[in-house]
Amino acid sequence: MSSVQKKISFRPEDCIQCHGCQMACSMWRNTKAGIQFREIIPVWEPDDTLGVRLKTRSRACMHCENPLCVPACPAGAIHKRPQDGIVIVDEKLCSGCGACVEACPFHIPQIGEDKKMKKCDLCYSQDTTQGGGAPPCVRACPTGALVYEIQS
Amino acid sequence: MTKTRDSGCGMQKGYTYQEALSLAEQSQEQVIPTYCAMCGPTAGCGLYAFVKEDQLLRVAGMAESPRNRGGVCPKGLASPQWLYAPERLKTPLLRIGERGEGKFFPITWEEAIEIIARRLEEQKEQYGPESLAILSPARRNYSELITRFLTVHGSPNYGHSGICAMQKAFAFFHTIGGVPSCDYENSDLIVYWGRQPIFSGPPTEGAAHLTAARKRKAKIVAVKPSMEPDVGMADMWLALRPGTDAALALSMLHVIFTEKLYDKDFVEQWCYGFEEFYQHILSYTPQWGESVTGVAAQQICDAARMYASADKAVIDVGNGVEHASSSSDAVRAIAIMMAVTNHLDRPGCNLLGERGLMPKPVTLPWRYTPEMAEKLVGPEFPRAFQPFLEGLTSVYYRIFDSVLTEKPYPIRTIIAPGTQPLLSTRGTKRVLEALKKVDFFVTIDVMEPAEMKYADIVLPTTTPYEADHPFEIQGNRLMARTKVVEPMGEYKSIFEFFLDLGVAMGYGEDFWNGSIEAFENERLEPFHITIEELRKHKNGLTLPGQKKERKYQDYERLFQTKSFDFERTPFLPQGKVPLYHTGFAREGFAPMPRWKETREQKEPYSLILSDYHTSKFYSASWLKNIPSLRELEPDPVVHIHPKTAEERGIGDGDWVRITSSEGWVRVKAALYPGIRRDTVMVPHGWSQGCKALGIQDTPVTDGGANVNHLYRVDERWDFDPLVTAMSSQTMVEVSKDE
Repeated sequence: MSSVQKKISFRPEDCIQCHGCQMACSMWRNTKAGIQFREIIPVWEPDDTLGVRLKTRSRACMHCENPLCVPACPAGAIHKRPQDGIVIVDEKLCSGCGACVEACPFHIPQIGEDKKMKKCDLCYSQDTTQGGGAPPCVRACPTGALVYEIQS
Repeated sequence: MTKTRDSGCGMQKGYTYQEALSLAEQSQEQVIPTYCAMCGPTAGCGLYAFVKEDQLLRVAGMAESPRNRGGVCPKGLASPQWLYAPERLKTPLLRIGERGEGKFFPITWEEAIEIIARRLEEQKEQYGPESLAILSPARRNYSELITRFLTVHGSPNYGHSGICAMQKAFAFFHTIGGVPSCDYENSDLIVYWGRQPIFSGPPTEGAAHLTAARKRKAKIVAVKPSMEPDVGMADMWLALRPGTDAALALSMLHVIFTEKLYDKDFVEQWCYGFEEFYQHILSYTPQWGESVTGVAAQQICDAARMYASADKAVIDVGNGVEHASSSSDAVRAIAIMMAVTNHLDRPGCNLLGERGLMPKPVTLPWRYTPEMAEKLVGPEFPRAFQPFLEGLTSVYYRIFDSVLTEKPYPIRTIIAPGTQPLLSTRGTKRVLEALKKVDFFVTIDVMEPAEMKYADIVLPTTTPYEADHPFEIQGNRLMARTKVVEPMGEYKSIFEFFLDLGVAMGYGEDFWNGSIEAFENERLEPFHITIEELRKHKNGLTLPGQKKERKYQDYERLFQTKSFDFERTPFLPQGKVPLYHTGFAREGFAPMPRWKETREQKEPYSLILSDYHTSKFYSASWLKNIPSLRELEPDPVVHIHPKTAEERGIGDGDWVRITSSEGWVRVKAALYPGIRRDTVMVPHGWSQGCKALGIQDTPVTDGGANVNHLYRVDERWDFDPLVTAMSSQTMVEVSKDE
């Protein structure tokens, strides 16, 4: 377990479904078609006042405390960084077998055309975070529905 | 475990200029502060463009911009894909084949200007200057140049859409003396009426006010036929039948008047025609309202009581209300509701007389003449009430109609800058006929427009990312525009088009002799700075605030506003809110807002169709060629209630045919629990393909997905008699497309 945990939390009540976070990710990380590190999903729920209510869910790697994808990887390509709790994949070791996708209770990881596992790594690998600050998806969000947090 | 919000770099939203610069330095890129160009009309989100070797790589939101405060939406983020889209026009073109054949010969910008200038001169000589019409795009920063060019040339035929902003402005001005703004921050109740506060410019004020209002537990009421995420945040949803806003407002007024929920003092002192109006409103009972709008009578009563009794309440009236043949009645009724419940110009309510900083206008209103008004080919507002806010205006659709009917006379040249008439106005099939018949048609755009093959001259312009003008002002922040990249083809900006054409026509003196710098400097006059000085402030300049103590409820002054017509008649004939409008009565229009039966109320088709003008990923009929946006919304869909779909054997994702009396479209069914069971809604103006993803354009009429050709354009039914708003409703049937 890491003493510091970086993460992005999602506040569904503030999300207006503009999908700016998704597009910021695509453009800043140059993701290929079909790969989404974060997805904003409209959901319908029954509602006492309005009859039905449109709400929002979001799917992205949550950098779990005990990530099930880590032990599931036969190549040992996934690990949780002790210094900041970010769950990352070493693409050199990844064989694209998809065991992580199965092991993740939310099936978050995706396998790219290059047969490498893809998911949010909080932009640790990029220069986009300004030495550890909020990634572009958080910075794009007009309503603060995505919040970058460092827990310790 | 302690939770701390990251403070590593201070900001969570957007990037400061310093952050952007140091980020760019790491990857040997350049940062150019600019404005987003992806939507309009009041665009202007501040962006930092990241550029390497004259290539735009990506953009980020500008934290210093008061408009978006660092936020940026998917359209803005997709800017590079727009700039480099394969659909971009590359050079001016001259038609060499038959109309519609699509055969062109490349020419230079100067040759194109020369051909247009000579043609306009000939026609002015032969048919008079009014033979020229220029279509207005959704309001753009160059709209004033259209008015200026027409005025100098001598034509009143500025073709305004008839469905945007001016329709409600006219009704508001003539009822409460101005267009009210909303004091959202101090309000306890916000009514979003026909308004989409989140998908048009998500990083701008609309969404911020909505989410902030929810946080402080202000009540939110949404009035529209289908539920989008903003309605998902509401406390009350009045899901009315499309186009019945006037009936809803009238029945709410019935409750307010009969239950004496109005402010007696205000009504006595500041309203005119109470007795007539009271008698008039009696027949619009909530039960009647239910029968027309489909909103339960009880809910109509609840909404009226809630609004009338709230101390601080605003109504934010959106463009949706302007898309019906009873648009002026709806807006007048809503304005009366604001006034009689004492929600006008008090803190937390709708405010009057608020005006932001503006550049010096460059229209030439003192040159309008009554003779020009007489020549309007299809007045957008009755001649007696022209000029209005945008000057002398003809309604967009009637310009095409005149080509076909030759009444009152045929327009000979149509110039269409940044607007696609086949996708943006109703009656597509007639527009198509007119495009084949008109003497001379010029289209000006960034991308290949839908009507390109009917044009005599196609003129490509720069995107705003390739131009160093115009400067913009957002709030109190002023910023010059800097070229992000060099223009990628044989073209100039739309501003240069009007200046160059002006010079070529011999109107040089009125067009700054072709100097963009002089044009910029004239517009900058109110700010006491030159463009050269302004350019030194790379990411803009914050102008000193001029906070003056505001005087509320100064009706003595507010209700005296003079109109823009030739006599400068006051908007409010008695200096009071006209519940009964003597000026309208005099000109033969309804003196009080009323409901007139619509064609839809008597039609054999079973479902009512309308369309969404704003969407998450597209800007009106544009941006569908952007691959990263198209991937998120690949097909045109119809929102249909699951029960309605089930009754027709339609499943989620099935292709369906929507048929009206005018034609049919083919779209994909999206089962949508948040829509009325008698209503289906589709996107607006869908035809553009996406070359990057191998998606073809679809037809603009039958078999495609362009909703416009399903609507009717019969003057007796489908236009508002006062403000010419065009109906966005028609009856349809939906069936599975085998």
